[in-house]
Formats: sequence, C-alpha cells, structure tokens
Amino acid sequence: MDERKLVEKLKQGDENAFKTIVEAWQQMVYNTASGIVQNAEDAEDVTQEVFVKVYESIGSFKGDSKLSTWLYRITVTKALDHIRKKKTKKRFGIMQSLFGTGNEEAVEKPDFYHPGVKLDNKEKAAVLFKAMNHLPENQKIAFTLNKVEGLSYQEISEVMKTTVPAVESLLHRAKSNLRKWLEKHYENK
Amino acid sequence: MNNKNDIQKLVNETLNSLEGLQKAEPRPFLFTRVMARIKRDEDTLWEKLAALIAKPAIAFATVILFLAINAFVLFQASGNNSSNTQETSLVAGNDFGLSVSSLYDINPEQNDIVQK
Repeated sequence: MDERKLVEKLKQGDENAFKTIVEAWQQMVYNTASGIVQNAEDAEDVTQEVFVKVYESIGSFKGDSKLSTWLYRITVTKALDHIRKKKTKKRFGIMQSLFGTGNEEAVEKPDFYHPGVKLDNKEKAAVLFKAMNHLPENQKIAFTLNKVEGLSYQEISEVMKTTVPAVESLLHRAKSNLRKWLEKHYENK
Repeated sequence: MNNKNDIQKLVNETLNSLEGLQKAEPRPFLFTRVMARIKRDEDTLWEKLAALIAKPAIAFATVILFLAINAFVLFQASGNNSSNTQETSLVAGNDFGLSVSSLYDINPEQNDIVQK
C-alpha cells in the first residue's frame, strides 16, 4: 500500500493500516532504540511508546517528510527521554542511600551485547557500546544512526533536522572521542 | 612501542566491530502489545478524570462555582428589573403631568413678572 494512503487510513482510525505500519517498521524502531538505550527490555518499552505515539499523533503528521524519518525522530526522542528518566531515578536512589532511607545497592550498568553483532566481534562491540555512552547526545545519536541503523549522512541530517556537513562534523568528533576513550580503556586494562 | 601499536590495533578493531551488524528484532506479536497499551492508556485517562472529579475539594469547588454563577445571573437580572421600574414611573409621571421636572414649572406666575 502507498505510504500516503496508509497514513490517510490511519488518520481515519483504520486499525489494519496501523498494523501494517507497526509490522513494516518495528524492526527499524526496535534496532534504533536498542542502539541508544542498550538494553533489550528498555528497547521493547521504547518501541511500544513510539508506536503508541504514532497512533495518537498521526493527525499531526503533515507528510512533509517521509514516514520513516518521522518514526526515527520519535524513536530518538523517546529513547533519550527513557535514558533521562532512568538517570533521574538513579540519582534519587543514590540520595536515598546517602541519607540511609533506601536499601537499594548502586547497580552498575551491565555490558550490552547487541544480538546482531558477529560472534568474533561481540566483546569488542560491547566495549564500543560502553564507550558510546560517554559521547555527547548528538554525537551518540549520529553515530548510532550511522553504525547501528546504517543510515547515510543525508538520511541522518533529515532525522536530526540539520545539514550534511553538520552530520559529518558530529561523526568525526564522535569517532575522535571514542578513540580517546578506547585508548584509555585498553591502556588501563 | 609494540604495546602502543597493539592498543591502536585494538582500538581500530573495536571501532569497526559493528561492521556487518544484523538488525535486532523485537519479540513476536508487538502489535498486540501496542494495542493493549493504547487501550490501557485510554482507560487510565478516564479513570484519572473520574477520580479527579470525585475528589471532595473539586466537587465542593464545582458546587460553589455553580452557585456563584447562579447568584451573579440573578443579581444581574434583578438590577435590570429595578432600573426598568424607575424608567416606567418617570414616563407615567410625564404623561399624566404628575412629575416636576424644573423650577420654572413650579411657579409659572413669577416667571411672567420677571419677563415684564
């Protein structure tokens, strides 16, 4: 079905159209979310939130961008919101433990093993994902969209509502920062 | 030096470790879970609204507001009625020569004397 027709049907509340959209883009949304939140359960949560948002906000989709671009934007936003909420909870937990009101132990984030990584690269990829968590948000998003989702610079610029040179700069800085972090990591091992 | 080269090699391999990545797949029946979540959110919204209205403070405030609006409307209506009554009596007085509207009308003879 044509994307425009699909959107029109969804705006009229057609559940079958919504099902088609979910099935067509669930992998894209889930994979992107996985790369950002680096946890299978959280990625599932974010994926559901994305499609709920699509269902509720399809009326505001004007069609000036591709549906996939819109979906990527919602995914990135929801994934970042998820990370922020978790950080806030963690900070609150630390405050509670400082004042002796909580029994929770500070739990370090476990290594993330992306299910789609080749077997030989699993350990190194886990280190890379750890390093990505230390990047500034924009650099992390650009790197994830490029390396995990395989988007081109042009596609990334559309998702991030910026220019191609800006994306090139983000990726260049991301790689430079990752390299520094990885050198330190391997030197200290 | 060897160690530095080794580290650089490791760093490069790590940076390239996502080459040939297969995309992760969500668990089956995602659509079913999404629809369940949408339904749950809709129910939650109505429940929240009902709970809000049922709160004593909100209910009391609503009743007070309702009474205040009624009182205001009644007050406005009675104010209009009294001003209408005044106008009516003025008109009636004029028609039947019962009202005194100026000093000249009270003593018409004196006015004649002044003019002469």
